[in-house]
Amino acid sequence: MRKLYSFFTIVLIGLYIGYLYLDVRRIYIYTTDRYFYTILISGAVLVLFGLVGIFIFLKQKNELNTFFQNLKGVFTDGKLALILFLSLLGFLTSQVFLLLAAFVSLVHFKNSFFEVILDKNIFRPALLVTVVILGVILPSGQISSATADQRIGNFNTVALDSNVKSINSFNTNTKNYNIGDWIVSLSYNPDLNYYKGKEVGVTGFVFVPDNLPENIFILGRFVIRCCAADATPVGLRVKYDWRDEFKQDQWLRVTGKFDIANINGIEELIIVPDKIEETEIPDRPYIN
Amino acid sequence: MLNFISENKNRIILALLFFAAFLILILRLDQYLEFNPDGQLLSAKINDFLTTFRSIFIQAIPFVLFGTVISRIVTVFVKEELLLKLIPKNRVLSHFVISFFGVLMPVCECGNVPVARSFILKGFKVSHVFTFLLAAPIINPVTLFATWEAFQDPIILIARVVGAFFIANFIGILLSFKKDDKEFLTNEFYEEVCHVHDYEPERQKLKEFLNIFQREFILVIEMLVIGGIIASLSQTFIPREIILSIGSNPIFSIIAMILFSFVISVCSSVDSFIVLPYTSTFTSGSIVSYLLFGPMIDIKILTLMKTTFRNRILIIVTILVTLFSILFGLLTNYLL
Repeated sequence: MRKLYSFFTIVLIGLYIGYLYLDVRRIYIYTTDRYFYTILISGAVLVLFGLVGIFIFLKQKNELNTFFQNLKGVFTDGKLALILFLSLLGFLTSQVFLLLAAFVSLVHFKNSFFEVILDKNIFRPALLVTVVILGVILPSGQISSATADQRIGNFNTVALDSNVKSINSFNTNTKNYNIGDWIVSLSYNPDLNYYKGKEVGVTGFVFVPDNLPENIFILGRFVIRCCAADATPVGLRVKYDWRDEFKQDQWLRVTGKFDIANINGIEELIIVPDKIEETEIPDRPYIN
Repeated sequence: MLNFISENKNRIILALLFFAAFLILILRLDQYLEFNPDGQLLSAKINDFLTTFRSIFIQAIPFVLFGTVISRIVTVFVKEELLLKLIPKNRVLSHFVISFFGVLMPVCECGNVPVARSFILKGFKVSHVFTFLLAAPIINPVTLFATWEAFQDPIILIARVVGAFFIANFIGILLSFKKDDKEFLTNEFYEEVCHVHDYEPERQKLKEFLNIFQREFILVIEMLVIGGIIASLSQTFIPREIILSIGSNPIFSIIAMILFSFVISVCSSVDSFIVLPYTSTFTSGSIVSYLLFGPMIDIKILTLMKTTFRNRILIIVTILVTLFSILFGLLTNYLL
C-alpha cells in the first residue's frame, strides 16, 4: 500500500512542476533561466516513473482489491467523518471544536478504518501530498520587502555575472541600466561625483527600511545566484514623498537624474525623479 | 508512557495538529494570512516563507532525481569485490583511495551505511569503512555538482572537498592504529552477519529499480521538505537582529550552522540548497562547516550507524568531526 502512495506522490510532484510551467512567469518566481529545462525535464521523468510504477503495482490483482477496499473504507468511516465535521465547525464557528477534534483523534474507535490508517505510517507520503496541494491552492509571489528587510545587512553587496559587460559599456549607454548594473558600477567606481547628473531609468519595488527619512524610499530588486532562496536585495534611493501615493512592494518605473544627498550622516547617491509610473511586475522579477 | 507514545504516534501528531490550529486561531496568528488589496500577494512574510521554501524544493528536485537514478545504475555495475581489489596495502594510501570510492558509487549517506556494512562483511577494515562513510557523501559527482550549482563559488567547493578529504583520512588513519578493530562493532552486527541476501530474478529488473527508486526518492524528498521548511521558516520569522548578530559572528555562526545541520539531517546531494537562505547573512566559514558536518554526522546517520558500531567509537568520531568542521570554518573565516 505504501508503495502505491509513494508512486502517486511522485506523479503528483511531477504534475506540480508541470503546473508551474503552465504560466512561464510562475516558474521565474522560484528559479532562473539556467534551470528552466532541467526542472521541466525532471518533472516529466517523475511523471513517467510514477505512472510506470503505478501500472506495475496495479497489475498485481490483490493489491488493486485492497486499494479499492481502503478507498471505500475512507468514505464510510465514522471517526474520520466526525473529525472532519468537528474541524469544519472549528474553522467556521468556534475554535473550541478544534480542541474536541484533537481529543477525538486521540480516542480509539473500534471497527474504524481510520484507525488502520493511523497505525500505518502513511503520514510521511501525506506530508508531501499536502505540500504539493498547498502549492497549487496557496500561490506565492516573488520574494518581497520582508526578506529585503531581513537581509538588510547585505544590502547592495553583490557581485553580478554581468559586471564585465556593465563596466565596458559604462560610458556609452547607461539608459538601459537596471538596478543591478548600477550597483556593480558603484562597486567598481565608488566616486559619487562621477554619477551626479547622469540620467537613470530603473524598475523595481518600493522597499522602506525603518531608518530612512520620510521623503525617501528605496527602489529595490533582488539578485539571485541559484534560486529565489538566496535572493540578495539591491536598490537605489529615490527622493520622493511617496507615502500618500505608493505602498511597500508596489512595482514602479522611475526615471530621473542622480544627485548626492546626505542621509543619516552618510553621503549617498539618490535619484531625483522626473517621472514615476506604476508598472507591471517584470516576467523575470529577479536579476541574475 | 514511552510505549503509549510510540504505539499512538500518528494519533498524537494528528491531535497536536488540531491543537496547533486551535492556538493559531485563538491567538489571531491568522492575521498573517490576510490578502493584500490586489488579492495576489499573501502577507509579505508568509509569502516569502512559501516562495523561499518552494524555490529550495523545486531547485533540488533535479538533483534528487539525478542522484537516485545514478546511484541505482552504478550499483548494478560496481561490485564490492571489485573495490576490494583496488585498495593498496599501504596504510595511508589505502585510506586515500577509499575516500574516493564515492565517485564510483554516489549514494546518499543514508544509503551508505548499508554499503558500509557489506564492506565489513567482505573483509574491509573498520578504519577503511569510516573513511568511506565520512568521505563518500561529499566526494561524489552529484554532491559536488549540486554544491557548485548552489553557490557558484570556487572557495566553498574547494573547502568542502579538501575538508572532507582531510577529515575522513585523518579519522580513518587514526582508527587504523587500533589493532583489534572488531571491538568497534556491536554484538547485534555479528548476529546480522549470518543474514543472507536473496537476489531478485533477472526479469524483474525494472520493477526492482522502480521499487528502490520510489523508496529512496521519497526518503530524500521528505527530508528536503522538512529541512527546507525549517530553514525558510527560521530565516523569515526569526527577528533580523538575532540572525544578523549570530550570522556575522565568526564563531557563533559556525556553531549555529553545525547545530542546524545536525538537526535537519538532509542528504548531501541537496543540503546545499537548504542553506541558501542563509548564505547572505551568515559567514562563509559557517557555510563550509555546515557543508562538512552535515553529511558526516547528523541525527539520521547516527541512528543508522548505532546498529553497526559501538557508542564509544561513534562519540569519538562525532567529537573529531565537530572539531575539524569548526576548524575548517574558522580557517575559511579568517584566511579568506
